[in-house]
Amino acid sequence: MSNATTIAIIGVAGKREQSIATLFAAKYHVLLFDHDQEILSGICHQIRSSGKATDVEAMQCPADASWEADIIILMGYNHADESISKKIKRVATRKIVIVFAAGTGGELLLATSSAWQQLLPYSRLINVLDAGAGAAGELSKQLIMESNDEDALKTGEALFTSVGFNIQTLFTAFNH
Amino acid sequence: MQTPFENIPVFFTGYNYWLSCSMFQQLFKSIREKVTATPEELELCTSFFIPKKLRKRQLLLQEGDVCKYNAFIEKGILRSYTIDEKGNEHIVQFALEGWWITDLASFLSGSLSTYTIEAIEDAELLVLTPEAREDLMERVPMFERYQRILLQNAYIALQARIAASLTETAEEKYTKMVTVYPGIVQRVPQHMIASYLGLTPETLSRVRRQISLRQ
Repeated sequence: MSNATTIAIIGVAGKREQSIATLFAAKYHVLLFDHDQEILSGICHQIRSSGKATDVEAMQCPADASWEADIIILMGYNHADESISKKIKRVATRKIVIVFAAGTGGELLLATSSAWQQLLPYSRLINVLDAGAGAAGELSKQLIMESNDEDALKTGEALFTSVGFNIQTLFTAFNH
Repeated sequence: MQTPFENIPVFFTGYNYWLSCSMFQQLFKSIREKVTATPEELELCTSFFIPKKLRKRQLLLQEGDVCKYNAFIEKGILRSYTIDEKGNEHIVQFALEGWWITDLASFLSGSLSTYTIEAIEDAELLVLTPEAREDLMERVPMFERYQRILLQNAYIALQARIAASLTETAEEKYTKMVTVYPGIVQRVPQHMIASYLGLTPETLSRVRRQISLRQ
Protein backbone atom coordinates (compact mmCIF):
# COMPACT_ATOMS: atom_id res chain seq x y z
CA MET A 1 0.00 0.00 0.00
CA SER A 2 1.65 3.19 -1.17
CA ASN A 3 1.86 6.08 1.26
CA ALA A 4 0.74 8.24 -1.64
CA THR A 5 -2.67 6.53 -1.37
CA THR A 6 -5.48 9.01 -0.75
CA ILE A 7 -8.23 7.86 1.60
CA ALA A 8 -11.60 9.57 1.98
CA ILE A 9 -13.31 9.00 5.31
CA ILE A 10 -16.95 9.97 5.12
CA GLY A 11 -18.63 10.33 8.51
CA VAL A 12 -16.40 11.23 11.47
CA ALA A 13 -18.92 12.23 14.11
CA GLY A 14 -18.39 9.37 16.57
CA LYS A 15 -15.50 8.25 18.75
CA ARG A 16 -14.65 5.22 16.67
CA GLU A 17 -14.80 7.23 13.43
CA GLN A 18 -12.40 9.75 14.90
CA SER A 19 -10.05 6.98 16.03
CA ILE A 20 -9.95 5.61 12.49
CA ALA A 21 -9.33 9.08 11.03
CA THR A 22 -6.48 9.72 13.47
CA LEU A 23 -4.79 6.40 12.74
CA PHE A 24 -4.94 6.81 8.98
CA ALA A 25 -3.90 10.47 8.97
CA ALA A 26 -0.58 9.47 10.53
CA LYS A 27 0.25 7.31 7.53
CA TYR A 28 -1.80 8.36 4.49
CA HIS A 29 -3.19 11.39 2.74
CA VAL A 30 -6.65 11.60 4.33
CA LEU A 31 -9.67 13.63 3.27
CA LEU A 32 -12.41 13.90 5.88
CA PHE A 33 -16.06 14.77 5.48
CA ASP A 34 -18.93 15.05 7.87
CA HIS A 35 -22.33 16.74 7.58
CA ASP A 36 -21.52 18.56 10.81
CA GLN A 37 -18.85 21.04 9.79
CA GLU A 38 -18.14 21.97 13.40
CA ILE A 39 -17.31 18.38 14.31
CA LEU A 40 -15.28 18.08 11.13
CA SER A 41 -13.18 21.18 11.92
CA GLY A 42 -12.75 19.96 15.47
CA ILE A 43 -11.44 16.54 14.51
CA CYS A 44 -9.07 18.03 11.93
CA HIS A 45 -7.71 20.45 14.49
CA GLN A 46 -7.33 17.64 17.01
CA ILE A 47 -5.44 15.47 14.56
CA ARG A 48 -3.13 18.29 13.47
CA SER A 49 -2.44 19.18 17.12
CA SER A 50 -1.47 15.63 18.01
CA GLY A 51 2.19 16.34 17.36
CA LYS A 52 2.59 13.47 14.92
CA ALA A 53 3.20 13.98 11.22
CA THR A 54 -0.25 14.03 9.68
CA ASP A 55 -1.76 14.69 6.30
CA VAL A 56 -5.41 15.47 6.83
CA GLU A 57 -7.84 17.84 5.17
CA ALA A 58 -11.47 18.74 5.79
CA MET A 59 -13.60 18.56 2.66
CA GLN A 60 -16.79 20.46 1.99
CA CYS A 61 -18.33 17.76 -0.15
CA PRO A 62 -18.35 13.94 0.08
CA ALA A 63 -18.34 13.66 -3.71
CA ASP A 64 -15.17 15.74 -4.02
CA ALA A 65 -13.48 13.75 -1.27
CA SER A 66 -14.46 10.48 -2.95
CA TRP A 67 -13.42 11.74 -6.38
CA GLU A 68 -9.88 12.45 -5.17
CA ALA A 69 -9.66 9.29 -3.11
CA ASP A 70 -8.24 5.94 -4.11
CA ILE A 71 -10.15 4.24 -1.27
CA ILE A 72 -13.35 5.42 0.41
CA ILE A 73 -14.35 4.57 3.97
CA LEU A 74 -17.99 5.10 4.93
CA MET A 75 -18.76 5.22 8.62
CA GLY A 76 -21.92 5.80 10.59
CA TYR A 77 -24.31 5.33 7.66
CA ASN A 78 -27.28 3.02 7.74
CA HIS A 79 -27.54 0.88 4.61
CA ALA A 80 -31.09 2.14 4.18
CA ASP A 81 -29.76 5.68 3.87
CA GLU A 82 -29.40 6.29 0.15
CA SER A 83 -28.41 9.93 0.45
CA ILE A 84 -24.68 9.36 0.75
CA SER A 85 -24.53 6.69 -1.95
CA LYS A 86 -26.31 8.99 -4.41
CA LYS A 87 -23.68 11.67 -3.78
CA ILE A 88 -20.63 9.47 -4.25
CA LYS A 89 -21.89 6.84 -6.69
CA ARG A 90 -20.57 8.30 -9.93
CA VAL A 91 -17.10 9.02 -8.52
CA ALA A 92 -16.81 5.71 -6.66
CA THR A 93 -16.88 3.50 -9.78
CA ARG A 94 -14.31 0.69 -9.52
CA LYS A 95 -12.99 2.11 -6.26
CA ILE A 96 -12.75 0.17 -3.04
CA VAL A 97 -15.47 1.36 -0.67
CA ILE A 98 -15.12 0.12 2.89
CA VAL A 99 -18.36 0.28 4.86
CA PHE A 100 -18.48 -0.05 8.60
CA ALA A 101 -21.66 -1.90 9.51
CA ALA A 102 -23.79 -0.44 12.24
CA GLY A 103 -24.43 -3.08 14.90
CA THR A 104 -23.22 -6.66 15.08
CA GLY A 105 -24.01 -10.10 13.75
CA GLY A 106 -23.00 -12.04 10.68
CA GLU A 107 -26.49 -12.01 9.22
CA LEU A 108 -26.66 -8.25 9.55
CA LEU A 109 -23.27 -8.03 7.82
CA LEU A 110 -24.43 -9.95 4.77
CA ALA A 111 -27.76 -8.16 4.58
CA THR A 112 -25.95 -4.86 4.78
CA SER A 113 -23.49 -5.98 2.11
CA SER A 114 -26.30 -6.77 -0.29
CA ALA A 115 -27.99 -3.42 0.31
CA TRP A 116 -24.81 -1.40 -0.20
CA GLN A 117 -23.90 -3.30 -3.36
CA GLN A 118 -27.25 -2.35 -4.85
CA LEU A 119 -26.65 1.30 -3.98
CA LEU A 120 -23.07 1.25 -5.33
CA PRO A 121 -23.20 -1.41 -8.05
CA TYR A 122 -19.89 -0.50 -9.69
CA SER A 123 -17.84 -0.12 -6.53
CA ARG A 124 -15.72 -2.81 -4.93
CA LEU A 125 -17.33 -3.17 -1.55
CA ILE A 126 -15.81 -4.36 1.67
CA ASN A 127 -18.05 -4.61 4.70
CA VAL A 128 -16.54 -4.34 8.13
CA LEU A 129 -17.74 -5.51 11.51
CA ASP A 130 -16.11 -4.65 14.80
CA ALA A 131 -15.37 -8.06 16.26
CA GLY A 132 -13.75 -6.94 19.51
CA ALA A 133 -15.21 -5.81 22.80
CA GLY A 134 -14.08 -2.19 22.85
CA ALA A 135 -15.51 0.35 25.27
CA ALA A 136 -18.90 1.70 24.27
CA GLY A 137 -18.64 3.77 21.11
CA GLU A 138 -14.96 3.00 20.69
CA LEU A 139 -13.30 0.87 18.08
CA SER A 140 -11.53 -2.31 19.02
CA LYS A 141 -8.51 -3.53 17.09
CA GLN A 142 -10.31 -6.68 15.92
CA LEU A 143 -12.21 -6.34 12.70
CA ILE A 144 -14.00 -8.74 10.36
CA MET A 145 -13.89 -7.80 6.69
CA GLU A 146 -16.27 -9.33 4.18
CA SER A 147 -16.32 -8.95 0.43
CA ASN A 148 -17.04 -10.84 -2.79
CA ASP A 149 -13.96 -9.21 -4.34
CA GLU A 150 -10.81 -11.11 -3.35
CA ASP A 151 -8.39 -8.50 -4.55
CA ALA A 152 -10.24 -5.69 -2.77
CA LEU A 153 -10.29 -7.78 0.40
CA LYS A 154 -6.51 -8.19 0.29
CA THR A 155 -6.07 -4.45 -0.22
CA GLY A 156 -8.45 -3.62 2.62
CA GLU A 157 -6.73 -6.06 4.94
CA ALA A 158 -3.31 -4.59 4.11
CA LEU A 159 -4.62 -1.06 4.65
CA PHE A 160 -6.03 -1.68 8.12
CA THR A 161 -3.17 -3.95 9.16
CA SER A 162 -0.77 -1.12 8.33
CA VAL A 163 -2.35 1.05 11.03
CA GLY A 164 -2.42 -1.64 13.70
CA PHE A 165 -5.64 -3.62 13.29
CA ASN A 166 -6.05 -7.40 13.43
CA ILE A 167 -8.18 -8.45 10.51
CA GLN A 168 -10.20 -11.57 9.87
CA THR A 169 -11.32 -11.78 6.28
CA LEU A 170 -14.42 -13.43 4.90
CA PHE A 171 -14.60 -13.95 1.16
CA THR A 172 -18.15 -14.53 0.02
CA ALA A 173 -17.98 -15.99 -3.46
CA PHE A 174 -21.39 -14.89 -4.68
CA ASN A 175 -22.94 -11.65 -5.90
CA HIS A 176 -24.78 -9.90 -3.14
CA MET B 1 -8.54 -13.68 -8.60
CA GLN B 2 -12.25 -13.22 -8.57
CA THR B 3 -13.98 -9.91 -8.94
CA PRO B 4 -17.70 -9.32 -8.97
CA PHE B 5 -17.67 -7.52 -12.29
CA GLU B 6 -17.79 -10.49 -14.62
CA ASN B 7 -21.37 -11.30 -13.76
CA ILE B 8 -22.68 -7.83 -13.14
CA PRO B 9 -25.66 -7.08 -15.33
CA VAL B 10 -25.52 -4.00 -17.48
CA PHE B 11 -27.84 -1.32 -16.23
CA PHE B 12 -28.82 1.05 -18.96
CA THR B 13 -29.58 4.03 -16.83
CA GLY B 14 -30.28 6.14 -19.83
CA TYR B 15 -27.73 7.44 -22.29
CA ASN B 16 -28.86 11.01 -21.64
CA TYR B 17 -27.74 10.70 -18.05
CA TRP B 18 -24.20 9.85 -19.09
CA LEU B 19 -24.22 12.44 -21.84
CA SER B 20 -24.99 15.11 -19.30
CA CYS B 21 -22.15 13.89 -17.10
CA SER B 22 -19.25 16.15 -17.90
CA MET B 23 -17.03 13.40 -16.53
CA PHE B 24 -17.11 11.52 -19.86
CA GLN B 25 -17.51 14.26 -22.45
CA GLN B 26 -13.91 14.33 -23.66
CA LEU B 27 -13.69 10.52 -23.70
CA PHE B 28 -16.85 10.16 -25.80
CA LYS B 29 -15.58 12.85 -28.16
CA SER B 30 -12.22 11.13 -28.50
CA ILE B 31 -13.81 7.76 -29.21
CA ARG B 32 -16.22 9.17 -31.78
CA GLU B 33 -13.40 10.96 -33.59
CA LYS B 34 -11.77 7.62 -34.31
CA VAL B 35 -14.43 4.92 -34.44
CA THR B 36 -18.16 4.51 -34.85
CA ALA B 37 -19.75 4.00 -31.44
CA THR B 38 -23.36 3.53 -30.47
CA PRO B 39 -24.81 5.22 -27.37
CA GLU B 40 -25.11 1.81 -25.72
CA GLU B 41 -21.43 1.04 -26.37
CA LEU B 42 -20.36 4.38 -24.92
CA GLU B 43 -22.46 3.85 -21.83
CA LEU B 44 -21.06 0.35 -21.37
CA CYS B 45 -17.54 1.80 -21.36
CA THR B 46 -18.21 4.15 -18.47
CA SER B 47 -18.40 1.46 -15.80
CA PHE B 48 -14.85 0.33 -16.52
CA PHE B 49 -13.18 3.63 -15.73
CA ILE B 50 -12.11 4.90 -12.31
CA PRO B 51 -12.81 8.64 -11.95
CA LYS B 52 -9.79 10.25 -10.31
CA LYS B 53 -9.02 13.83 -9.41
CA LEU B 54 -5.46 14.98 -9.01
CA ARG B 55 -4.31 18.26 -7.58
CA LYS B 56 -1.46 20.24 -9.09
CA ARG B 57 1.84 18.46 -8.43
CA GLN B 58 0.18 15.23 -7.29
CA LEU B 59 1.57 12.10 -8.86
CA LEU B 60 -0.27 9.51 -10.89
CA LEU B 61 2.88 7.39 -11.09
CA GLN B 62 6.15 7.45 -9.19
CA GLU B 63 9.37 6.19 -10.74
CA GLY B 64 10.12 2.75 -9.31
CA ASP B 65 6.48 1.75 -8.88
CA VAL B 66 4.51 -0.48 -11.22
CA CYS B 67 2.26 1.60 -13.46
CA LYS B 68 -1.27 0.46 -12.73
CA TYR B 69 -3.19 3.18 -14.57
CA ASN B 70 -3.74 4.17 -18.17
CA ALA B 71 -5.23 7.61 -17.75
CA PHE B 72 -7.51 9.60 -20.04
CA ILE B 73 -7.55 13.32 -19.33
CA GLU B 74 -10.93 15.01 -19.09
CA LYS B 75 -9.47 18.18 -17.62
CA GLY B 76 -5.98 19.49 -16.88
CA ILE B 77 -2.44 18.74 -18.02
CA LEU B 78 -0.04 16.03 -16.93
CA ARG B 79 3.61 15.42 -17.73
CA SER B 80 5.67 12.29 -17.85
CA TYR B 81 9.35 12.61 -17.04
CA THR B 82 12.44 10.69 -16.12
CA ILE B 83 15.44 11.76 -14.06
CA ASP B 84 18.99 11.03 -15.18
CA GLU B 85 21.99 10.11 -13.06
CA LYS B 86 22.88 13.75 -12.57
CA GLY B 87 19.40 14.52 -11.25
CA ASN B 88 18.23 16.37 -14.37
CA GLU B 89 14.61 16.01 -15.41
CA HIS B 90 13.77 14.99 -18.97
CA ILE B 91 10.14 15.41 -19.94
CA VAL B 92 9.08 12.83 -22.49
CA GLN B 93 5.41 13.67 -22.81
CA PHE B 94 2.74 16.21 -22.02
CA ALA B 95 -0.91 15.24 -22.08
CA LEU B 96 -3.88 17.55 -21.99
CA GLU B 97 -7.65 17.23 -22.35
CA GLY B 98 -8.55 14.40 -24.69
CA TRP B 99 -5.17 12.69 -24.45
CA TRP B 100 -4.02 9.46 -22.80
CA ILE B 101 -0.96 9.09 -20.61
CA THR B 102 0.74 6.08 -19.05
CA ASP B 103 4.02 4.19 -18.96
CA LEU B 104 2.90 1.56 -21.42
CA ALA B 105 5.78 -0.85 -20.84
CA SER B 106 5.19 -0.92 -17.10
CA PHE B 107 1.40 -0.91 -17.50
CA LEU B 108 1.36 -3.90 -19.83
CA SER B 109 4.20 -5.96 -18.35
CA GLY B 110 4.04 -5.14 -14.66
CA SER B 111 7.68 -4.04 -14.64
CA LEU B 112 8.92 -1.15 -12.52
CA SER B 113 8.47 2.21 -14.17
CA THR B 114 11.32 4.53 -15.03
CA TYR B 115 8.92 7.46 -15.34
CA THR B 116 7.07 9.80 -13.05
CA ILE B 117 3.70 11.19 -14.11
CA GLU B 118 2.67 14.43 -12.44
CA ALA B 119 -0.25 16.85 -12.71
CA ILE B 120 0.86 20.31 -13.89
CA GLU B 121 -2.63 21.66 -13.18
CA ASP B 122 -5.54 20.31 -11.13
CA ALA B 123 -6.79 17.43 -13.24
CA GLU B 124 -9.79 15.19 -13.72
CA LEU B 125 -8.92 11.77 -15.09
CA LEU B 126 -10.63 8.58 -16.13
CA VAL B 127 -8.27 5.71 -15.48
CA LEU B 128 -8.19 2.10 -16.57
CA THR B 129 -6.37 -0.68 -14.76
CA PRO B 130 -4.79 -3.40 -16.94
CA GLU B 131 -7.54 -5.84 -16.00
CA ALA B 132 -10.34 -3.36 -16.67
CA ARG B 133 -8.80 -2.42 -20.03
CA GLU B 134 -8.65 -6.06 -21.14
CA ASP B 135 -12.15 -6.69 -19.89
CA LEU B 136 -13.45 -3.57 -21.65
CA MET B 137 -11.83 -4.48 -24.97
CA GLU B 138 -13.33 -7.96 -24.77
CA ARG B 139 -16.82 -6.79 -23.91
CA VAL B 140 -16.84 -3.76 -26.20
CA PRO B 141 -14.92 -4.57 -29.41
CA MET B 142 -15.35 -0.98 -30.56
CA PHE B 143 -13.02 0.05 -27.74
CA GLU B 144 -10.31 -2.32 -28.90
CA ARG B 145 -10.47 -0.72 -32.37
CA TYR B 146 -10.22 2.68 -30.70
CA GLN B 147 -7.15 1.60 -28.71
CA ARG B 148 -5.50 0.14 -31.83
CA ILE B 149 -5.95 3.40 -33.72
CA LEU B 150 -4.56 5.36 -30.76
CA LEU B 151 -1.47 3.14 -30.61
CA GLN B 152 -0.96 3.41 -34.38
CA ASN B 153 -1.12 7.19 -34.18
CA ALA B 154 1.15 7.25 -31.15
CA TYR B 155 3.77 5.15 -32.92
CA ILE B 156 3.67 7.41 -35.99
CA ALA B 157 4.04 10.48 -33.76
CA LEU B 158 6.92 8.84 -31.90
CA GLN B 159 8.81 8.16 -35.13
CA ALA B 160 8.28 11.74 -36.22
CA ARG B 161 9.50 13.05 -32.87
CA ILE B 162 12.65 10.92 -33.02
CA ALA B 163 13.41 12.17 -36.52
CA ALA B 164 12.74 15.77 -35.53
CA SER B 165 14.96 15.55 -32.47
CA LEU B 166 17.82 14.38 -34.67
CA THR B 167 17.40 16.81 -37.55
CA GLU B 168 15.62 20.00 -36.48
CA THR B 169 17.20 23.15 -35.12
CA ALA B 170 16.16 24.56 -31.77
CA GLU B 171 14.10 27.23 -33.50
CA GLU B 172 12.37 24.70 -35.74
CA LYS B 173 11.51 22.53 -32.75
CA TYR B 174 9.99 25.42 -30.84
CA THR B 175 8.13 26.84 -33.82
CA LYS B 176 6.60 23.46 -34.56
CA MET B 177 5.52 23.08 -30.96
CA VAL B 178 3.84 26.49 -30.93
CA THR B 179 2.07 25.69 -34.18
CA VAL B 180 0.97 22.15 -33.44
CA TYR B 181 0.43 22.36 -29.66
CA PRO B 182 -0.36 25.99 -28.78
CA GLY B 183 -2.44 24.83 -25.80
CA ILE B 184 0.58 23.22 -24.19
CA VAL B 185 2.88 26.19 -24.81
CA GLN B 186 0.36 28.57 -23.23
CA ARG B 187 -0.26 26.51 -20.11
CA VAL B 188 3.08 24.88 -19.31
CA PRO B 189 6.03 26.69 -17.67
CA GLN B 190 8.83 27.57 -20.07
CA HIS B 191 11.47 25.48 -18.35
CA MET B 192 9.28 22.41 -18.88
CA ILE B 193 8.88 23.24 -22.58
CA ALA B 194 12.67 23.52 -22.79
CA SER B 195 13.10 20.12 -21.12
CA TYR B 196 10.63 18.50 -23.51
CA LEU B 197 12.42 19.97 -26.53
CA GLY B 198 15.82 18.91 -25.23
CA LEU B 199 16.95 22.51 -24.82
CA THR B 200 18.30 24.44 -21.89
CA PRO B 201 16.01 27.19 -20.58
CA GLU B 202 18.60 29.73 -21.74
CA THR B 203 18.57 28.38 -25.29
CA LEU B 204 14.80 28.46 -25.38
CA SER B 205 14.75 32.06 -24.15
CA ARG B 206 17.22 32.99 -26.89
CA VAL B 207 15.11 31.24 -29.53
CA ARG B 208 11.95 33.00 -28.37
CA ARG B 209 13.77 36.34 -28.40
CA GLN B 210 15.00 35.77 -31.96
CA ILE B 211 11.52 34.82 -33.13
CA SER B 212 9.92 37.87 -31.53
CA LEU B 213 12.55 40.23 -32.98
CA ARG B 214 11.83 38.88 -36.43
CA GLN B 215 8.07 39.47 -36.11
